[in-house]
Amino acid sequence: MEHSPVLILIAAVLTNNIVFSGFLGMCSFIALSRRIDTAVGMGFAVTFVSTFTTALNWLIYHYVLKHGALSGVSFLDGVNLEPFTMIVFIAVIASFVQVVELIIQRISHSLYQALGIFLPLITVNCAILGVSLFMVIRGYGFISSVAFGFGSGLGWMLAIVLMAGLRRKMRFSKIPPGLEGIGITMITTGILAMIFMVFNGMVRIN
Amino acid sequence: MSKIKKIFLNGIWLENPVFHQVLGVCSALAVTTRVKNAVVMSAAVIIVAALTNFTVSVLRKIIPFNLRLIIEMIIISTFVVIFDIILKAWFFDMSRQLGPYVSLIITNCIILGRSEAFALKEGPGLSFLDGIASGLGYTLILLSVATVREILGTGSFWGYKLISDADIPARGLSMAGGAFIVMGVLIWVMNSIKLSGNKEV
Amino acid sequence: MNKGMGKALLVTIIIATVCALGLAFTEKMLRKRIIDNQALAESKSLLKVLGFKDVKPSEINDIMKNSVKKIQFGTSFYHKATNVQGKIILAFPMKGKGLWGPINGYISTDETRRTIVDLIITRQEETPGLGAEIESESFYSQFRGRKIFADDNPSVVKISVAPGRRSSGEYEVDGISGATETCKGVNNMIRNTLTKAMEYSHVQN
Repeated sequence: MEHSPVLILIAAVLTNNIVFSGFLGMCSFIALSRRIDTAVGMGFAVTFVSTFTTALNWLIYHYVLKHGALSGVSFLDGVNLEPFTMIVFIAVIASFVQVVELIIQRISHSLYQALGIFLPLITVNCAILGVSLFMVIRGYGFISSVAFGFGSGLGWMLAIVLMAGLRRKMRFSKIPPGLEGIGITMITTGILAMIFMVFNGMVRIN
Repeated sequence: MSKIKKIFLNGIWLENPVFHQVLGVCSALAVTTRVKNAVVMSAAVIIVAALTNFTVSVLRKIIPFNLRLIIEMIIISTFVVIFDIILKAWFFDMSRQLGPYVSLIITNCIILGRSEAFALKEGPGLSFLDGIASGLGYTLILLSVATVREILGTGSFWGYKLISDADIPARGLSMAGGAFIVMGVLIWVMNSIKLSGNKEV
Repeated sequence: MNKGMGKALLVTIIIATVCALGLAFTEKMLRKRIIDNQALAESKSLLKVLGFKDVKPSEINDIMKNSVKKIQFGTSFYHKATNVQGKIILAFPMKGKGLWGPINGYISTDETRRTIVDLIITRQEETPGLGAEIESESFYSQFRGRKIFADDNPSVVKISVAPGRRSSGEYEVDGISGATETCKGVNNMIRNTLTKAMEYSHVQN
């Protein structure tokens, strides 16, 4: 009984949003949710990187790193690369981001202006590494992993854009001095997380 | 001596990385349903931050500038994975409870942030202390949030039952949303203390 | 420029190699210990459903060797043991799927395979605070002493987990609200295991 990638995608966006129930990607979530346009830009960048790095990491994990994956190659028989999983994942993410940055810079100046500045920040966005890690722990197949990576990215984007909208409204509200900035953002995130729990009954498969 | 004092004062209170730069909150929230988990997680961050700072500082003269991020990430992940392996070998139950969040210390921005901002400029000894200090700052937040959430959300402390299941005051706090709210209120309290302190000065 | 880059790469490669070696060494040194730990944790869960509560880690292997019998049936197996009160208990391994990933565990029944003795979840990747609550004493306790079959139909497994809500009858246990998918996964897993256990009830050793 393998869950369909569609279900995983919906669950990753709504019921198990990576920010609201996984607490991942919080640093940039708070730092970059001041303006809606930056939030949208970063959201696209995260979705893009998370989809592709999940796919790459899946292939690398299953064909190289996994215990026994190399047993077909005689001289590598018995080599266990599993402990290096995390290091390889983070290296793949960092290099992918670097390469994408170079490509975007060459082909489209306007796209680079829109996304370029966010790319270096993504390497340390724990949502990206988290998605790769969860995909291994949960034993997803390739398609499911890509759906999960894409859905988590979309979910992150949804969260940060919602937050940016709310913070824009809040600029005109009276907030106690100590609560301004991070404090009120945290509390609002908490309330949003509770609202998102309403989606929990929604995902069903028959 | 005063420099060391300053490092600790900055790391824990004045420039606490979690409040001031909003660094490292991800993992801080996920493991705070139980105080015990928070303690182990904090220990992991202190150890990894101190060792990474130390290593980066020792190597700071030979690390090529344009590849420094990747090198820092490699050093951090090595320490984190080793810590994870040690946890699995001697504290197996704990490593099961913390699950993937130990590995996610790799992307804890406190560690990378401190090695960028401090270890690349200062000597190994001071960098080591700075790692401990920022780790302690993180610990302070983690333990406060975990204490509130465990007592009010599950009615126990360190695993011991304090309040019977029927009378748990705020079960919602043990869920995800509760973590954010406790954290927000904590930041409010700490900032207010700081603000009133500033006025007196 | 090119020379500088070459040196930079060399330094990076050296640092990466040193890190990799350190890591590989630690892993090699502790690998056996970790595997033993995993096996020990698995045995401890198994003993718990078989009625051996609060066993000291040092005693686990002895009890497993002396008091627990592994019996093959079909492509699967179960464990058989006599508990402190002298009753025979059978423990069946369960494998299922939740919302996020695999769910594993053990369910134990009495000798007739008609009443549940205990249940434990040994592996799950469900949402913390929601689905992950299946791995809790309060969830397990609901199963203890439950009848598996209705009196009027002794061949179809009747016990079930209510999907994400409170139970609505004698043969249903409370689900976890907000975790419908997880409850369905656990429900399927328990019912499959118990059905198979009954089909092979003639295999005795």
